[in-house]
Amino acid sequence: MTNGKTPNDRRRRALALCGASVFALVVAGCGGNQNAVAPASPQEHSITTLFWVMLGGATIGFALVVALLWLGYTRRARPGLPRDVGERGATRLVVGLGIALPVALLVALFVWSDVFVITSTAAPSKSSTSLAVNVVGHDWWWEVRYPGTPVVTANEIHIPVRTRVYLSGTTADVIHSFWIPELNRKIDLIPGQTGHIVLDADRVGVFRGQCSEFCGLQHAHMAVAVIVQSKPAFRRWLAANAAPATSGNPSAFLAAGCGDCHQIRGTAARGDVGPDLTHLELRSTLAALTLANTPANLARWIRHPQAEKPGSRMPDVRLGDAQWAAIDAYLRSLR
Amino acid sequence: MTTTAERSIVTLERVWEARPGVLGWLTTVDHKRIGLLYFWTTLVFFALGGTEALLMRTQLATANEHVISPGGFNELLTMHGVTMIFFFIIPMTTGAFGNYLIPLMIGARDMAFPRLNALSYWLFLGSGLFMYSSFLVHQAPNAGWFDYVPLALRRYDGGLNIDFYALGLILNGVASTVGSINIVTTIFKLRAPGMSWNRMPLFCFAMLAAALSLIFALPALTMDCVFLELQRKAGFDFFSPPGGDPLLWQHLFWIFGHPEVYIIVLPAFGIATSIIPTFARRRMLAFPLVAMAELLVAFIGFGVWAHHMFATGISTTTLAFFAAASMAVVIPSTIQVFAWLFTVNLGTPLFRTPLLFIGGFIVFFVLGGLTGIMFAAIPFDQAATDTYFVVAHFHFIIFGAAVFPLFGGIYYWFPKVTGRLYDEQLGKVSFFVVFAGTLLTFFPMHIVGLLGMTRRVYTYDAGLGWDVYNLLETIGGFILAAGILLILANLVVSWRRNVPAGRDPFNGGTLEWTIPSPPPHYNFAVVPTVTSAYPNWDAADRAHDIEKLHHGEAVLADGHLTPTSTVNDALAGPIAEMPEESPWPIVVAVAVTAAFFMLLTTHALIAAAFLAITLLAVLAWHGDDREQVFSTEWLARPNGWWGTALFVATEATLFGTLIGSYVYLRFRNVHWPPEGIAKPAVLVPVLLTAALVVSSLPVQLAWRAGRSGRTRAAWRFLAAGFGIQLGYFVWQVHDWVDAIHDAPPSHSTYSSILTTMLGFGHAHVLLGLLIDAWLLVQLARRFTPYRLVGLQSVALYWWVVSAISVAVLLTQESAHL
Amino acid sequence: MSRTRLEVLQWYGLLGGALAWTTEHVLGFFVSDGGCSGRVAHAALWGGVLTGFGVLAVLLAQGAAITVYRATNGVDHDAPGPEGRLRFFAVAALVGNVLFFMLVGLDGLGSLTHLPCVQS
Repeated sequence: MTNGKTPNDRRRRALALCGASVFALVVAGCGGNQNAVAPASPQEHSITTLFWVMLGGATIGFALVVALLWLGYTRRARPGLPRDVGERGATRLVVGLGIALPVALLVALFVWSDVFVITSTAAPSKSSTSLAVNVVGHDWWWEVRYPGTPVVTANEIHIPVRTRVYLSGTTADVIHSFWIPELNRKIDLIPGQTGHIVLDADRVGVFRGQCSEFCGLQHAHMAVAVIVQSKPAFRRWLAANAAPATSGNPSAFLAAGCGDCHQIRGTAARGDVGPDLTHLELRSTLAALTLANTPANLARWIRHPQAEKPGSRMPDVRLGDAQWAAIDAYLRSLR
Repeated sequence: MTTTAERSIVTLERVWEARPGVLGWLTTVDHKRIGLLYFWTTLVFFALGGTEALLMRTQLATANEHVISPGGFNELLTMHGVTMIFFFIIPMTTGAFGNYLIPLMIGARDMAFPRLNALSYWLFLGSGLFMYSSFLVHQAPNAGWFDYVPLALRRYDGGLNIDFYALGLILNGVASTVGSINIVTTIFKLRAPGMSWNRMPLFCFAMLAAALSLIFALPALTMDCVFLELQRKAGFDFFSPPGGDPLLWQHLFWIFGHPEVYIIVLPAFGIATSIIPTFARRRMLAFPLVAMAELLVAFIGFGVWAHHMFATGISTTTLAFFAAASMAVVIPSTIQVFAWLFTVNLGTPLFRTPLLFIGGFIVFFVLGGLTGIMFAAIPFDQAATDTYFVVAHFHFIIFGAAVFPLFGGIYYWFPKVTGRLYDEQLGKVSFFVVFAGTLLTFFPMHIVGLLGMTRRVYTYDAGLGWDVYNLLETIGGFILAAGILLILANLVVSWRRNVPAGRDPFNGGTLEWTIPSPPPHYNFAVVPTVTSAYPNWDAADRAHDIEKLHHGEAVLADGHLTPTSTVNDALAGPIAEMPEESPWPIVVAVAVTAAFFMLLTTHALIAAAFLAITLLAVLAWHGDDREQVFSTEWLARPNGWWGTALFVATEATLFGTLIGSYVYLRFRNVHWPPEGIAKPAVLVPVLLTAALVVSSLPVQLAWRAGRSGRTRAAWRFLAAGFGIQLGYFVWQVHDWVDAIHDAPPSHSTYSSILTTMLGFGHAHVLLGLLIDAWLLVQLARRFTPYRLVGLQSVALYWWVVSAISVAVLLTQESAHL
Repeated sequence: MSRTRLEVLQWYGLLGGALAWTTEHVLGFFVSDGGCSGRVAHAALWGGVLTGFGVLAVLLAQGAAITVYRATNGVDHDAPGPEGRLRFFAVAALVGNVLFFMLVGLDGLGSLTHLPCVQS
C-alpha cells in the first residue's frame, strides 16, 4: 500500500472509532448490530422465524443422514438393514424419504414462505406508510433525501420509531444493494428502476448496513446506518437539517474546488458528485461510515482521501496548512 | 489357442501404437492421453485458483488488513471463481474423468470424434492461457465471475479486464461445447452391444446429463458475452436504460449459471455411484430412480435461473416460478442421497479412502443442500443473499460435494490409470485433514453471514463480531491446502513405490476393471459381452470374452476399429474406423486462440486472417477419406450425423437466447421500433426466407440420390440448393448492411438486438454455404461413404437453419404487432 | 399392446411431462413479465390457461408411464432392451412426472395467488 501505514495504525484507529462515543453510532461500529437474526421490525421478525423453523427442519434432516451413515459404518460387517429390511424395503424407504416426504415438506414451505411470508417483505403500498425516504446509491456512498423537505444528507438515515417508512432506492451509477439486516430484506438498486421496501423499526437504536451487491473498488467501505429516533427527536433532527447552512465564509472551500463536487445549500457550491455537506457536522461519520466524524478524522479524510479509501471518487487535493485551516473552520461550522 | 490370442494382442499393439515423444502427445487423439493432458492442466489451474483463495483468506484473516490492494483483491476474487469453475471443475470432470473413463466404461476404443476431442483440449488450454495472460498486462478480470453490468461496461471498467473475461469465456465455451458433443455422441453410439440404456453405468448417465446441460446452457453465456463485447467494443446497446436493461445480463448469465451448478456436481454424483457399489460390494439400490434423478436434476436446473435474482425487485408473480423450481430441484438429490445411504447400509462396506471421501461428500452435500433449500424461501433469500451465508452454502456444494468425489475418484481410479496402488494409510490421513480443513474453512461463514458480513468485500471493520470467524476460516483454508498437498504427495509417493495394482484391485463392477492397468492403447482386446449394469461381476460373460479372444473373435484388429451400436438398445451396428494421430487439432486451436487475441486488441483484420488459417486447417483436417460407417436406419445413423444434430441443437439454443432477449427487451420499450426507425420490410424477407426453406429440399434430395448411388444427380441437387442459398445470402446481407447504415445499432436497443440476431442468422447461412461448397468440390472428385455422411449431415443442417430463419423472421416481423 | 405403441407411450411418459413444464414455465415467465409492462393483456388468464395445460399434459404423461409400467410387469430393469429399457424408463418416468406435476402446480399456485406486478 502506498500510504505506508501499518495494519496496527488501522486497528488503533478502528478502536478509536469505536471509542469515540460521539453518537449512538458507537454501537454501529462495535456492537455488531448488523445481525440478520436479531430482528427489530415486524418484517425481519417474519424472516427470522422462517429461518429458525427451516434451521430446525434442516438439523433433523442432517441428523438423519449422519445417523444412517453411522449405521452403515457400525454394521459394516453385516449385510442388510436392522429388522431384516431387505432390498424391497430399502427401495420403499428411498421412495418415502427421498420423494414423498420431501415433496410434502417442500410444498408446505413454498406455501408458507413464498405465498404468505413474502407479502410482508414485498414492496409496501405507499398508502400504508406515513413517511417517504429516497436513497440513491453512489460509488461508494449513500445519498439520502426526504421528499417534500429540502433535507439531503448522506449515509445516515434518520427515521422515527414505529412508523412505516416508504424507502425508495435508485442508483446513480452501478448496481448497489441496500440492506439493513435487522430491519428488512435487501433491495438491489438497479439503473433504470426503483426498488421499494418498508422500514418499520420497533425500537430506538442504530442499525448498520452495507452495500450488498459488488460495486467495484470500495464495495467494502459502503456502509449505511439507519438511526431510529423517538418521534419528537426525529422531528427536531429533520427541522435542523431543513434549515439553511450556517453563514460561515465558504471562500477557501470554493477556492479549493470542493464546490465542483459538493453542494452546500445557499452557497456557490452546487456539485452533485459527492455528498451534500450543508449540515456535515450533524453527521457522526465520514466516507460511508469508514471514519467517525472527529476533527482529526476530518482532516485525515479530506487531506488524504486516497490513503483512507483507495479508489474513492474524492481526489487527493493538495492543500496548504493555512488553506486547510480555513476550510476546516468552515466545515466545522456546518451544523 | 493361446497363440491366436497372443497374435491378436500383438497385432492390436502394433495397430494402436502411439507416436513416441512430445510430438506424440501434441498430435494424440487417444482419449486416455487427452484425459491425462486435461488432468494435469486442470490441476495446475486448481493450484492457481487455490493460491488466489489463500491470498484472499490471508487478506481477510483479521479486520482492516493490508496484504492486498482493493483492486488486486477484486482481480483475485474474479479469477478464483472463473478458474475454479471454467478451468478446473468442468474440464477436470468432463475433460479428464469423462474422457478417460467413458470409453472404458462402455466398452469402446476411443471417443466418437477423437480429433475433435484433441481440439477441445487444445482450445481449452488456449482459453486458459488467454485468460491468465491478463495478469501479464495487469488487467485481469475484476468485476466478479458473474460480471454484472453496468460495472462491467466500459464506463466503469475501461481496461481490457472485462474483454479478457468475455472473450476468454466464449473461447472456453467453444471448447466445452465441442467436448460435450463428443461425450454425448460417444454415449449414444459407442456402447458395447448389449448395453441398452438400462444397463449403462450411472457414471455415464451423470456425464450424459452434464454434457447435455453444457450443450444447452453454454449458448446463453456465449450470447451474453457477445452482447457485452458488442456493447463495449462496438457501441451497441443491450444493457443501458432506457432502451436496454442491466437485468438482461443477469437473466442470461443465470440461465447458464444455474444449470452450471448441476454441471459441476453431476459428475460428482457419477463418481459417487461408481465408488459406493464397489466398496459396499453390491449393486446400487433403486438404479432406475438414481439414473432418472441424474437426468432430472440437470433438466429442472434450467428452470431455476431467476433464483439468483430474488433481491432485484422482480414482481412476486414472476419470482414464484423460480421459487417453485428451486423447491422441486431438491427432490432428485434427496432420491440419490437416500439411495446411496441405503446401498451402503444394505451392503458390507469397506471404508477405504475412496469411500471415506464419498462419506465426506454426502455429509457436505446434505449440509450445503439443506441451506440451499432455505434460499428457495424467497424472503429468507432476500435477506441472506450476497452474504457469507451464501458463500458457505455454495462452497459446501462446489467444494464439499463436487471436489470431494473428485479426490475419491482420483484415489479410486489411480490404480487403473497408473497400474500402481496408492498408500491407504496416507490416503485416510489425507481424508481427515481435508475434511477438517473444509469444515473449518466454510462452516464459520454461515455464522458471519448471518451476522451481516456481505460477500466480495476486500476488508471489514473490527467490532462487528466477525473477526474470530474470519480468522478460523483462514486457518481452515491453510489446513485444507495442506490436506490437498498430502493427496498429491500420496500420488507421487505411490507412483514411485510401484506396488502393482493388477487388473482389478477393488473388485469394481464396471467394464474398466475388466482390462489391464494401465489400459492398453486399444482398451479392449475383444468387444466385451454386456448383459447387466455391472458386467465385471458377471463371471460367465468375462469367461466368454476370454474365449472370444482365444478364438480370435470380435478382435477387430484391421485398423483403428471400434464397434458402434444403436442408440436405445445397443444392438450391434457397423464397425467404425477411427482416425489416427493428427496435427490439425492443435493447429486449429492455435489459430483460433490467436484470432481471439486479435479480437481482444481490436485488430479485426488480423483476426479474420487467423480465422482464414483456421478454415484452411479444417480443410486439411478433413482431407483424408476414411471408410466411415454408414447406415440409413434412424437409430443407427452415423456418428457424424449425431454430432451435427447436437451441434445444430446448441446453435438453435443460441437463437432461442437471441429471440428471448428480443422479446424481453421489447417488453421494456414503449416504442418498438423507436421513433425515426422504420418498421421492418415484410415482402422481401418473407420471400427470401421461403426460398431458403425450399432450398433445403434439393439438399435432402441430394442425400437421397447419393444414398442410392446416383452420384451425378446428388451433385446437381446440392448445386441447386447451393445456388438458392447463395442468392438468399447475398440479398439478405445486402439488406442487412443497408439497415445498419440507416439505423446504426449504436443508436437504439432495437437496432442492436435486430442487427445481432440477423447477423447470427446470416453467419449460419454462410457456414452452410462453405460446407456446401466444400462438399461440391469433394463430390466432384470422389464419392465415398464418408462424403455421404457429409451430405446427410448438411441436409439436416439446412433444415434446422431454415427453421431458425423462420423463427428469426417471425421475431423480426413481430415489430408490426 | 403393439411394440410401436409401447415405444411411443414410453417416450411420451418420459419426455411429455418435461416438455409440458418447459412450455408452461418459459411462456409463464414471459406472460408474467409482459403483463407487468402492459405488453401482454389478461396475463392472469393466460397464466391460468398455461397451468391448466401443464397439469393436463403431465397427468397424460403419467398415464402413459403407468400404462408402460403395467405392460412390462415382471420384466427386470436389467433385462435386455427393448423390454428392459421400456421397464426402466417407465419406472423413471413415474418419478419424473411426480416432480413435473409438483413444478407445474407450484408455478400455477405461486403466480396466481399473488397480485400481479407487486414488486417483490
